[in-house]
Amino acid sequence: MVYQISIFLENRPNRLFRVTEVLREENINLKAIMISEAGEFGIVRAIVDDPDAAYGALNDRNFTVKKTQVVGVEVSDGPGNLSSIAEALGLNDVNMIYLYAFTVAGKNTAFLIFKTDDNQKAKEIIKEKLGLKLISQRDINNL
Amino acid sequence: MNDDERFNLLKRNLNYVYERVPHYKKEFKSAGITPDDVKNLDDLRKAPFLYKDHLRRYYPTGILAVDKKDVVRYHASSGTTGKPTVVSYTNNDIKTWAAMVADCLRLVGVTEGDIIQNSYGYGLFTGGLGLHYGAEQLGASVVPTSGGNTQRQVQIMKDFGVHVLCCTPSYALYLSEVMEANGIDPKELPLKAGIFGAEPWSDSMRRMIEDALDIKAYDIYGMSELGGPGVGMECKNQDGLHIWDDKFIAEIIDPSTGEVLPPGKKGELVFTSLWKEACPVIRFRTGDITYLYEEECDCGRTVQRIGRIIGRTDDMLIIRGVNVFPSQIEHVLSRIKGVSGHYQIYVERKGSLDMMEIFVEMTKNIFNDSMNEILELREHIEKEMYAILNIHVKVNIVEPGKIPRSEGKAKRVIDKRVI
Repeated sequence: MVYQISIFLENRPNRLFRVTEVLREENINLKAIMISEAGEFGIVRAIVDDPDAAYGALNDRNFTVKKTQVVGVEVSDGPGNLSSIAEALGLNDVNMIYLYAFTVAGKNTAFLIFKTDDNQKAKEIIKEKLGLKLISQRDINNL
Repeated sequence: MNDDERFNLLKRNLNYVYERVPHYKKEFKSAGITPDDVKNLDDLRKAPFLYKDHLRRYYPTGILAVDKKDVVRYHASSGTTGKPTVVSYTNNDIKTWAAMVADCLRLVGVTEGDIIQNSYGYGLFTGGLGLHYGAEQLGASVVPTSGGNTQRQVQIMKDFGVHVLCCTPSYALYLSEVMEANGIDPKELPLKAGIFGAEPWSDSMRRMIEDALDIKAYDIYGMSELGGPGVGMECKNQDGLHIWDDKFIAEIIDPSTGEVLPPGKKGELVFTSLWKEACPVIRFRTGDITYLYEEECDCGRTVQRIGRIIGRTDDMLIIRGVNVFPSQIEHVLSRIKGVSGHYQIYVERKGSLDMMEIFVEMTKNIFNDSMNEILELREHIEKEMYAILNIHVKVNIVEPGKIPRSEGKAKRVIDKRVI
């Protein structure tokens, strides 16, 4: 299980800095980050080495922040590997809401982080049907 | 009409409301007077004021001096919170009002046979039907376009050969822009005059409209509580609005003390109706700020004349001719889950149209990592606002704590419009 930190932010200059500034002060390391926007606001989603500390620090500073569970999958870094996941989810009627991914240098590995409309079912499909490895917070911290 | 005749009308009216409307009897009694204490026009100042909040209590019939079955029409304007202020009309009221509006049109040279495009909204708002009945009574030909669908409005204006346009001044400017975009030259059209009201405007805006549409632009004053448009009207001199002396008595008062102010002094405009049967008003506080002229108009008419409206005593906003109270917005927000009580209203004029945005704080606990839920919340608020205000409002969801707090009275409204 991987925990993600989501932050609601107004889409204005300097707002992202306010978030990263807190993380820097608390010595929290970002592993992955994505920003989505919808006009005047957006959501920052991040995987960090200490989600509880990140949540606490941001919440204390009055950010609208939420700690949520997302699906993390490790796949080998090669053509077609996301495609088989997307196909399997689609065939089982699981809808992907968002996804971000990063590769790890020197390990020939890619990590996918995503949320679906049914995370439990998604995890089963990935583990049982595709035989892929679901990652944990420890895997993230070992990067 | 001389002072004696006016006083007789006033006297008749005071007795009428005292006998028929419990509200007035009660208010007169607490002020320690009866209609008999009003012995001349000046004595009107002894009578208690009527406030919009009073009228709100009489939802949904309005403050009634006649039997409900004698009401032939209802109109309504925005209330300060959820419920609108209702005004009712007898058959005579409708006829008298139409005659008053017809007189307004005559005052600026509109005649029988003129084609009038009426772009005021038809419905609960008094503007549309008020001008419509007045124009028909005058014998003009009315094109009831109502508001909206500007492309079609422009086409109709050209194809029908419209002579007179009735709408809000900002909509008149917008129409001129759409005409230009469509390659229509107002100079080639028979359009000669515009009757513009329902929102405050200035002489510089008048010049803009007159240049853009190649017409004479006249200010008309009214308010649903007073019956609708036609309470005051400029003559061809465009210098102050004439008040029909057999229909209303206008006073200017100091809004904080209630003292009557002399001509020339700015204060709150207060009206007493002399003609209304269904819901007569005695000393109604309009909230509008202006002054009374002392001298007679060059046109020779001796009736009371008021300056153009220069502001409000309260926080009411007029957005595209629609009255909006911040308290209405507060009321809507108070019923919506997931937002704090803090909000800010931002108004600006984009091109010629007023745009209103509301900044609303989302509460922390409702955030659930879902973009969609925030978008739905925004849409929900916009729909609720439209349902109450009848205008489209852009809602911006902001982070908690981002709306500036101030000690004492919060600055809820930022109005960037230059009128």
